[in-house]
Amino acid sequence: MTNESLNTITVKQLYRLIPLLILPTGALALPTMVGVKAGNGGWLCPWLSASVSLVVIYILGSLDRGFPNQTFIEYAIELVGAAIGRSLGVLYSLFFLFSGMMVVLETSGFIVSTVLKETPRLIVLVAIYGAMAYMLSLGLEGIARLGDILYMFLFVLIVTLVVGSTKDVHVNALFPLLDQGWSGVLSGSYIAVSWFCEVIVAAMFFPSVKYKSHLRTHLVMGVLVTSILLSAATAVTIGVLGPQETARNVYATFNVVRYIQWGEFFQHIDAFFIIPWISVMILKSMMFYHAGVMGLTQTCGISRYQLLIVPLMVLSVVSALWLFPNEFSISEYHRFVFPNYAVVLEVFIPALLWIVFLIKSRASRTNR
Amino acid sequence: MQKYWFVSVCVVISSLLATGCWNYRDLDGEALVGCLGYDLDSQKPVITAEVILPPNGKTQESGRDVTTPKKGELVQGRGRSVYEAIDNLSEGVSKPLQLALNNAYVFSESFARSNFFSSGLDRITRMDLARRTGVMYVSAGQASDILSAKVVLADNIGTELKGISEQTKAEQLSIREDLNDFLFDVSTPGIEPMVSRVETQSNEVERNALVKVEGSGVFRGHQLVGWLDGPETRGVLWLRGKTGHPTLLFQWKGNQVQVRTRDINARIVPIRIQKEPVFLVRIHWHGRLIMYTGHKPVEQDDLPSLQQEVGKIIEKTVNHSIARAQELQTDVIGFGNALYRKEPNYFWTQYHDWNTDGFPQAKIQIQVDASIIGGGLASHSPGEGVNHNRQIRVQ
Repeated sequence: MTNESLNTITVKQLYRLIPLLILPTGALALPTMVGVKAGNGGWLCPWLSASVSLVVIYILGSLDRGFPNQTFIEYAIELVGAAIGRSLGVLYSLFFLFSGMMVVLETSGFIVSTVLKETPRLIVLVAIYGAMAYMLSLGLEGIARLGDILYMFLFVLIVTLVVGSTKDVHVNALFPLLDQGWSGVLSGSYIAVSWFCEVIVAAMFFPSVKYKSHLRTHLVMGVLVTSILLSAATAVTIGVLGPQETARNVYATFNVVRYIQWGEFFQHIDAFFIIPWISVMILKSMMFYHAGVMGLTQTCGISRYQLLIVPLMVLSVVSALWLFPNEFSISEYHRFVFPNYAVVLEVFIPALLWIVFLIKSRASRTNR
Repeated sequence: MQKYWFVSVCVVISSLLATGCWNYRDLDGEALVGCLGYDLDSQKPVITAEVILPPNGKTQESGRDVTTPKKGELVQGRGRSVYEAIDNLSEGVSKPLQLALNNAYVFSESFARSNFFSSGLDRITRMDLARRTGVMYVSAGQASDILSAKVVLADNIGTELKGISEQTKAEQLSIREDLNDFLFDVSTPGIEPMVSRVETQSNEVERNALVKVEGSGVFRGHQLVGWLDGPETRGVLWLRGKTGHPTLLFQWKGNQVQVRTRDINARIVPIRIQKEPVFLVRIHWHGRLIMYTGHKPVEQDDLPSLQQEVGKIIEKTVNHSIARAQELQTDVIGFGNALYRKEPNYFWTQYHDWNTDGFPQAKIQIQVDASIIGGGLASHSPGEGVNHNRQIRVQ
């Protein structure tokens, strides 16, 4: 571990980071994505996906007990050897950086299509990455403190969404229950699994958590809170727009926010939503970038992680514009590409490492 | 000191980049649309927009009072398709059309009966700033006549129409359907949309006539198929379980009685799912007595008979609405949706013919449970119960 990365966070701060990690993109994009597959049963998808996430938390918690002062990449090298371990390190670092870039792209796409329509995407990207570079240089503690502030915002946003649109909910839209059947809910959940299992990012923060008692409990609570909020947001969106309209709209949840109206005095509240939402999205991408930068530092044995920040930010701006020139490509990537490879990196590889860990610890006990 | 310099430079740069300074937009630099009207002229769409003129920006220039907002100006665009008409409209305005404040969409009957209607909706929902809160109207005449009607209660016709739509919720002689409600109905299996009917009050088409909102236009999918009058619309709204506060006036034991609805709930239950489906509709009505011309106050023993009378009126109204909807072959009430919720697999076998075949043949049983829960603050009418035979003793 480098000295700079030793700034510590509490287990409660880690708990607050979990909803901030999963919910921002989930609440915005999940209703649309699950609406296509699961119809009016879309609100169940977060719960099924969360159950997979709980398994990942159990695995990560067990591994952390075996390697309490190491990050996921550090103990991967120890478990499977330097060659494979370092390859995994590079793979995970790129995965974290790429996922962070995707969140920034979604954020910039959201900003450009809703607020700053005339502003070139490049300007928005440069502004976001500039702010992010500064925050990353402050380390994990800065990110966690920002998370403390934004956590309450996230709650207020979702509660306002649910309460504000309750009067416009068509209860009939939620019946017959599971109009697309369990198969629809399962295939809808598959997309959401990739978001819920992003808790793997937290495995890069474990060594920085002081007093790790009840680590797993706090992570589980974070996932459950996220499921409740995400399920409520999806149910309300389906109830207001109907399953078909939910699937048709690119930002279905945002459309519901724009629809909230109480009398003449409380309407057009989307601006009230956009600013904290963008902040939360940027915080999420910061968590990914922090994990990615730390991963590369540890894999390559670099002394100061700050050295990597600016080059990686510049590289991210260039690759974001080169790989995803328009919104269609981002949407296709999220629906068809990301869920498939994310599940391998977020569920299967940690599970394999855990099996190796169990075999090794049993062998060492037998040798003793 | 170096740190402060760095912070100062950051503040200056970020304030330049802040949207308020860098990318600001003046209110009068945009064409704020308050209402959109859709017509057909020689089978070509014509779109009329009410562009709201913002107050003069004199407060910024000289600190003088802001002038009162003017009534909107009407601009028109026409083309071979809705898309072309909107493009031509935008070009004619010379400022970007801003739809964030649009309050109402008015469709002429000919437009709503044409295939252009669905492309009109598609165009609206793809616009970035268009909101689903805009209320929808169908006009028996030209939509542009409605847009040029006299505005009494608001600054512009869009706001006026939105205000009227809120008022219709109480008497329920028309429906308040906004864009989101319409899209919900049109995309939900087993229920068809209906939209408020608007017309100018004078028989002749003239500028500055007042608008009148009563009844509704009923759709099958994206196409207008007919009209319901005020009481028929009220019956449909009751069957849809929409609560309003309409008053009912009727004769009871030779006297005039008026009751006011507090709430009304309806539940549709499919009881036979066969070729000729049978539905049971249970309606629960609660209301208050607001007028009674009898000589005696209404007593507890009178209530069953009075409630039965209310029940008969409700039953008659909803039966009439059902018959009219069956005649128009469009299930605006949602019997198909009740069937879909109970037996989705069976409904999908009937889906394509439901409006034209299944719904018109459906048998509907009505059960009304009316309950009068109070008689207001007076026990009898003014002047009633006074002893006119008493003699005044003059001393």
